[in-house]
Amino acid sequence: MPLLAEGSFNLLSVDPGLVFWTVVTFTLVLLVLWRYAWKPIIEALDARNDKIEGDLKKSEDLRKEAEDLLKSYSDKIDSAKHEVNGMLEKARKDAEDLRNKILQTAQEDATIVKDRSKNDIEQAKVKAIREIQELSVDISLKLLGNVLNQDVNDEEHRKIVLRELEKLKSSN
Amino acid sequence: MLSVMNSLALVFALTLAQAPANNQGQIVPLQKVESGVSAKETSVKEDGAEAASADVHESAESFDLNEVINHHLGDVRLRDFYIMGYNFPITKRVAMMWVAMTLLLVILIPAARSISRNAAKRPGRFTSMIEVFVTFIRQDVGENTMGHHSRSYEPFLLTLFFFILFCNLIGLIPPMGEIAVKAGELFGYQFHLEPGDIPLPLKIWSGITPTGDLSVTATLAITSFFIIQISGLVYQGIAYIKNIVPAGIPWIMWPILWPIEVLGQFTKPFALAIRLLANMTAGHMIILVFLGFIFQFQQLAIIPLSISISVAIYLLEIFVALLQAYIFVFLTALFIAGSQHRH
Repeated sequence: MPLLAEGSFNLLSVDPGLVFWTVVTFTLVLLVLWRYAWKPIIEALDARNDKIEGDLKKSEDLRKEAEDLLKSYSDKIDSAKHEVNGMLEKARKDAEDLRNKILQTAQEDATIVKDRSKNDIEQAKVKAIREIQELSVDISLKLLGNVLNQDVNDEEHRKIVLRELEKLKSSN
Repeated sequence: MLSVMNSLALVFALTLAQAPANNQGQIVPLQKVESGVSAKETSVKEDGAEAASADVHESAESFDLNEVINHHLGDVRLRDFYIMGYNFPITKRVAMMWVAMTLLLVILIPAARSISRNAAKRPGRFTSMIEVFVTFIRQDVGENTMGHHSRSYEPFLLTLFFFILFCNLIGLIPPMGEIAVKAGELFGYQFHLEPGDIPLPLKIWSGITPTGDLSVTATLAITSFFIIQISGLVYQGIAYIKNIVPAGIPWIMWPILWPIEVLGQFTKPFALAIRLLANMTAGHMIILVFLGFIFQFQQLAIIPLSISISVAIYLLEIFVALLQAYIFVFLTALFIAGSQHRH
């Protein structure tokens, strides 16, 4: 059993065979993992980081773009609101003006009509009074003639009566 | 899963620790292996006739903590390997190192494949765990110490970290070879071996910690030493030899400080090697000592105490395995960063 006789434990002994195999194994592991594990993993992780970074940048750009767009749209909406308000204001003002104008015209028309009818009434009144006067003169002359038994239907008499009537009227 | 392994490890530690105690003549090949130190075995054999009538207490005295520690922590030569006339024997530690290497390749290469195949995709549970470690080593160890210079050292640092981590961790997994042999015995299968030979499963997975030996840790530390010195020479040129002394030191101090700083270059890897070795050995030893109490005192009352302390130490060892792998790599990165620029 010479192979087993060395099964002893010494914490600080260095076994050249173990050193040799450690070097061999570690080197092998280093080379194989370098080529088949670390290289692909590092490349993949870097690629992913780059992609994430790019995506973040892109999304930031998109966000900015969207914000700008939103701003321009809200500006547009604001200006449209403004415009609409102006239009409404103008329309209201126009309507007000129109109303006022129509009212004024109507009032004027009404005044004209009123005046005219007043005039008409006045004229009719004057005419009626004159007719009444003339009629009353005629009647009174006829009566007077009848009373006096003579024709007073004369133009001269007629004038006298009318003159007297005028006097009467002016004295009133 | 870990707790299952843990309890398995304890059960096997118990059965194995018992092995030297119940040698009563009938020796199975496994026990031959264990009590391979033939002087011990023959003495037990000679005592066999008297020991047969001996009481429990007397057999308890045959418990030898030294032997248990030798069995669990000591290296055993499995096969001679000659290169140009020199013998580089394959031992238990070499075999376990190869187990670690196999696991590294089997786990990391497929992980790399799946990570690189769909780099943009969301990683799975397995790949993201690998990614966490890789990113941690690249950023918190590499970039943190060396800045953008770390890129060319990343493969070395990653390999160093994962190699040490796996070597540390497989020492915590119960010896699968021993389980196989015991299971074989349970089903009546005896390994037919030449006297002194070791069953194949035990050769493959003996459960020994590869980093629990100065030869391994020192080799890794020396590798780090070379990387540190070479990177110093590459980054600073020949002035590196002069620049070992920190800037701003008066010339008069140089004859004292330069040898000290040069010595410091050697103590750094020495500390690396000893730190890893001690950490990977101490936990195992404490567990063996506490479990040994059971066989030493043969009292039922001590069992819960021994086992609970062993479980606690075992859990601590899982943490220490991770921590020491990290510390080794972090310090290496720090020393490389220190050699790149004068400070």
